[in-house]
Amino acid sequence: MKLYLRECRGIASSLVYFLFIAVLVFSWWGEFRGVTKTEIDRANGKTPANVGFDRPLLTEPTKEDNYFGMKTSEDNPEDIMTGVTRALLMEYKNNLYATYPLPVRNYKAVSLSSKEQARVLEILCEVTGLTEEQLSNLPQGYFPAVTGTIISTDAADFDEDGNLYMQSREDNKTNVIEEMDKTKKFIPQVTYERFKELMREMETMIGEEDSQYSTEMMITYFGLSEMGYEEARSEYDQTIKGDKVTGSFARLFCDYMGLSLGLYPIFIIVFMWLKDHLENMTELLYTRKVSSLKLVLTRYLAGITMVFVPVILLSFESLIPLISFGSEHDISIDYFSYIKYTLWWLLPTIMIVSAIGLFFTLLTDSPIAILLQFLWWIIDKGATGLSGDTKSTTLMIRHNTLRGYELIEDNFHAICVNRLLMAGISILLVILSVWVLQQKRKGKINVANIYGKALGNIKSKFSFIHTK
Amino acid sequence: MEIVIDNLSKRYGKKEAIKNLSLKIPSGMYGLLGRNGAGKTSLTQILAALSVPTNGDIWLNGVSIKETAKIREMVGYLPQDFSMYRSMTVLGAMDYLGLLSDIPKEIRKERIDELLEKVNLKDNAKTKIKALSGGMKRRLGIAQALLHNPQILIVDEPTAGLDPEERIRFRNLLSDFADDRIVLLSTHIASDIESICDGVAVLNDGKLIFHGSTEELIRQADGKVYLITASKELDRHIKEKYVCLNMSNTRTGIQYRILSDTPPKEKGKIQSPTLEDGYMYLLHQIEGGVRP
Repeated sequence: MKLYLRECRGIASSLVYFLFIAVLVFSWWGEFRGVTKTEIDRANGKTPANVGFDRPLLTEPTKEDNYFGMKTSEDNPEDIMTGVTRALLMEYKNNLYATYPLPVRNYKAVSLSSKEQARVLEILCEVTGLTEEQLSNLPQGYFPAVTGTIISTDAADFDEDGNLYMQSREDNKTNVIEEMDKTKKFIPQVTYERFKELMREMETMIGEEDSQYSTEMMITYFGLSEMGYEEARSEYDQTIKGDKVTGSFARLFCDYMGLSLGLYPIFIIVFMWLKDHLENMTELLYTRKVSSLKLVLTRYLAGITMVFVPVILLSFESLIPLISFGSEHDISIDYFSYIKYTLWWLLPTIMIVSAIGLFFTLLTDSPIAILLQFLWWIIDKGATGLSGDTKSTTLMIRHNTLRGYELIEDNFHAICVNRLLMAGISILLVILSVWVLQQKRKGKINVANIYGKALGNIKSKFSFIHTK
Repeated sequence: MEIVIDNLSKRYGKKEAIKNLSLKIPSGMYGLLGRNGAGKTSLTQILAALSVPTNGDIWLNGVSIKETAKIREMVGYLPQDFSMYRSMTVLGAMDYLGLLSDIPKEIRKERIDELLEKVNLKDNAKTKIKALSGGMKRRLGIAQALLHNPQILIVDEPTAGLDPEERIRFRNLLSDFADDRIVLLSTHIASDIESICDGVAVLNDGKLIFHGSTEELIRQADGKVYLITASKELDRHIKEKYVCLNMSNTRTGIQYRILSDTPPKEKGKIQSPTLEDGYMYLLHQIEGGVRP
């Protein structure tokens, strides 16, 4: 225990730890700080700026309300097909298809061959029921101005006073019912299932993941629709009764914190072990009575603790106002949500990052673990959707919303498998680290010798070339 | 109390650092002498359980070197490239190493006080390691090696880089700690051993070429050390002809301290040998002798 506290103190007084805290607080400040206060203010009738389309999470909905917030879903496939077809037609005309490939998800435009373009035209014709000529000369207002989260100014009209008038989906629906003319208004000529099939073909043709034709992106961009009272009621009940208020905030907090904890702890762990090597302390340490198991485990736990402590402290910024809100409105809240969520959601991330730092630093006496972890982090960040996209190898569980508890429920098994796998691999790496340290203490693994030999080989190759 | 080394070999790839070494080291101060690269550090690392022998056995007070946990309790080690966490204080570093040695808090505190007092660093207990001089660091090195009260203390090249005053102080310190334990002093500086060691072993190219008392090593050069004087013009000739141990300028020319199996033709006075003379004579015997 004393050694553990001593290691914690050692970490706390290191420059790397101060930098870690600074970066962690900076990320938290930019992403999560103030979210709770904003929601509480909204529930108390104050309307802060920039609240988006969401209904106040902590306000009980009534049937008399005229707005219940927005949701993204496949509930209105016609809207999705309208938006996607409009986007596809535009990209077809320019022969530039937007994609966001791994690992960094930066925008990349893809151009198709003339044969592929011909196939895109066939798809467009099948979806719209129009000919190539008709597609080239679509009438004004064929597509509605607003489709999902996309607002199109080319489909907008100006009224007599010159004000912008945008035709909404509802307006468009009325017109469709009135006219039912596929040449004047977009009316899908295929089922939603067939449409998704055609879009999968588009994705294959483009050859990159995550264009706007992937099902996930189609829903994100064009699946936005208004919620009804029942949905809003159910969401409120989940927040107040299911999550006991704090749960939903704890999830969002974990989402943001996870992004930082998927990378930054590696620096603490790598420098903790590298310090022995850099300060020529290894021989003094290795000849001590302390067992390799005790040394590795103590330092590993100290590292995890020191990463965990500031995370818990930062959660108070959200927890304390929620406790106060609960007592003011006589709502029972869960005081331990943050602890519970951080333990099962974030701890495995901290464990695996720390274990990678520990194992590779001990094995190589180098900071290679930082590079490895950075690569995993950047790929994982790009490959994982903002919510409900947990695979067995996902490093950081994402749930970038205060809502959507059903996504957690739907993915619960996958999340559990993932977290257990991360924890399991961490334990395995810690066991391997103990073995590596034992071998190093006996001189059976001598990294300096390995580097020396490698350097010698390189030198001899160069001298051979030189003498030749 | 003794260290028994039986037919020890250590190989690093193709290089054989120690070749079939057998030696018994009794309690007290014992010197391990040899050139750089003779195999001294390889041997001390094996004795400190930091390296495993390729062949052979070692027993430290009857405990096999393979029992690393027990060996670590028995051995205190001051490595050649000794250093500590620079940002720690003397007290902090000692306390941390004490924790790693599983020493209970009360005993740890008492022993640290006692050792810092002995190595004359008590006033520097709160000084950061980076602010210590080379000599102070070496003394701290001894203190940390003795923290868990080991039966065997191994010090590898402890006086390298120290000024003459610090060297003498350090040697005296080592001999103080040799009362009830084995202190193995590994060095290439013969004078360090001459002044404080009772026994000595000489390694050359991984092989043991001598072991015995310091007097016996000194006697190797008995009647072989001469003091001759020659003019500056003959300097090159003298150096080529004899093994020159030392030289100094005098009014009549250059005075040389030389090794020779036979009396030199130049007018010379026979000298009493030192340990360094005995050691040098031994090394040159291995390489073909010192006969002019």
